[in-house]
Amino acid sequence: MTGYFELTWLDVTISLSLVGVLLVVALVQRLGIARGVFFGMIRTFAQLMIIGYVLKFLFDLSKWYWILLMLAVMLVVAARTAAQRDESRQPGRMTTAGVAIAAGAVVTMATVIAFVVRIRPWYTPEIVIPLSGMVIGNTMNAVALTTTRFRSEVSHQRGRVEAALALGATSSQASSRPFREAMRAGLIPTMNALMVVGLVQLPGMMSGQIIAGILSVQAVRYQIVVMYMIASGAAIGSLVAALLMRRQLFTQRHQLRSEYL
Amino acid sequence: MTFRLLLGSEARMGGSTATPNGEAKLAVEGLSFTRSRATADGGRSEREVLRDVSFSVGESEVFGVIGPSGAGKTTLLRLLNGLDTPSGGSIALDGQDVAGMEMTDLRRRVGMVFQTPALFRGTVGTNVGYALELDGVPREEREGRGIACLERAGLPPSFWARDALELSQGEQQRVAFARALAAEPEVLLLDEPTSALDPAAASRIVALVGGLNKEVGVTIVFVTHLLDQARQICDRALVLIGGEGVEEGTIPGLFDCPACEATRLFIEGRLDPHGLVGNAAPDGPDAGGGDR
Repeated sequence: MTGYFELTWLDVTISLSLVGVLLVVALVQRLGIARGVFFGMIRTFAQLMIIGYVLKFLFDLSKWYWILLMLAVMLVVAARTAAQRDESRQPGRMTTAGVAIAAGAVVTMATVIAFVVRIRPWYTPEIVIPLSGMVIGNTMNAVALTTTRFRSEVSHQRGRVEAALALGATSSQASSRPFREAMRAGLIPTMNALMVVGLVQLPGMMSGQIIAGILSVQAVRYQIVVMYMIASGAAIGSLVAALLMRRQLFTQRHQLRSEYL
Repeated sequence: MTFRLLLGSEARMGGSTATPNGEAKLAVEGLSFTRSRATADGGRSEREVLRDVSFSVGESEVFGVIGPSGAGKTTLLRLLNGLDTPSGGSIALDGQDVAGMEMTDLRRRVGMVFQTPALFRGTVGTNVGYALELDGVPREEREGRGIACLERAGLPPSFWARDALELSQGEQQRVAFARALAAEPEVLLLDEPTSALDPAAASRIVALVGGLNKEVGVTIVFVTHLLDQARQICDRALVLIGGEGVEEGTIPGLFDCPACEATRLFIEGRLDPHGLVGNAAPDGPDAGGGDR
């Protein structure tokens, strides 16, 4: 294929030396992350190899239930990752993250499948899996930032929140500022991405196509759709996460549940 | 010997009927509160902060809650304002159990001023106007009514447009008073409102509290560990030690002839911070960890 620069396994092995630099720095400076670096290196290799075969399997089978199972696995992993970033002792963090990420991803993907790409069948894996992966990944980051920021804002502004409650404000009135701050924090990375896309960093999807030598107007159009999808998923996920957090941090009687701060 | 043994049968508890003015504005009966926290290992730890506290406050009375730090005074006020839910017992406002009330309505009727002013970012007007907005006051009426509240709290109208967070602590606490008064509460709960202030600012706040009660007729529950303040402005008081109400009575009665040994030791400054006498080990409600 013209313009296609093929990588051999030897090339991949040579690229390992790049991680080797990190490993050496971690060991010499005693950063205490050498173990993590080593396993991260192994996991990157193993996960990408396995997912390559899984995707090939899915694409060949093209059965809706296998695709849904794959999306469910992606969602659970994303929910778990988002919940782990929240260091509170609040129960149900993973459910909160899962519901918020699912809300953002499902609404966005349903809209894109039904009105933008209009694929038949709706579960065409070559489209659904990579697009869902990008939406879920970005929504996961927005949800994790929103939930951690909401909790820390309420915690830092506890005096003000309780002063508002004591004046007769409802929990949504009393937490309106933390709510806004949390959503803003959750959406800043997406906002930044929309502003600088193509100027600072070429998105992964486009980079892949450039390297594979198939960059086209089609690829650019897809990338624009992807950017809008990411924005939509992050916005819905962040909003749902903030709404769920507010329900959990306050009782029905408009009392702050300080044990969760 | 522990503090609890000292209570014995001497303790003179007023119960819910001992208000001088007849019908109680606020009647508290057998109030308990246990704080529950999640622990690092996923379990829960529980700590009894208040146990079986009863007292009553008459209409337009200035009622003191006095006791050492960590006695549960702040927790008691939080329960009265509905910021926390009691584990047991009842609170009645004008004879009506607050458990059945809409919480936002209760809090407009029973306002609270905290130890620290906890003002919102923005101007003084933003702060006082917020309470008026919650109370449903139309936008065009807010400034006029808000300025009246400021004046009642001893601040001139020019403060309305000033940045709330750039005021002195004493001025900020006055804004907190004005903000609480804006909802026209029937009862005002004051949680050591002078604790963060210098002596001059503190004495001005104490004078303000006395004046408010006389001019507006608002019923006041005043929490303090400073006996002079209680003596100066309170009609009656509850002595709260180690999470238990040990004695309720008039200020002269409590100060001059306390019925309970623990009250006497507290007034004489000989009670240790945990409500215990001498080096006795605690076996009563855990009073440590501050007032929360």
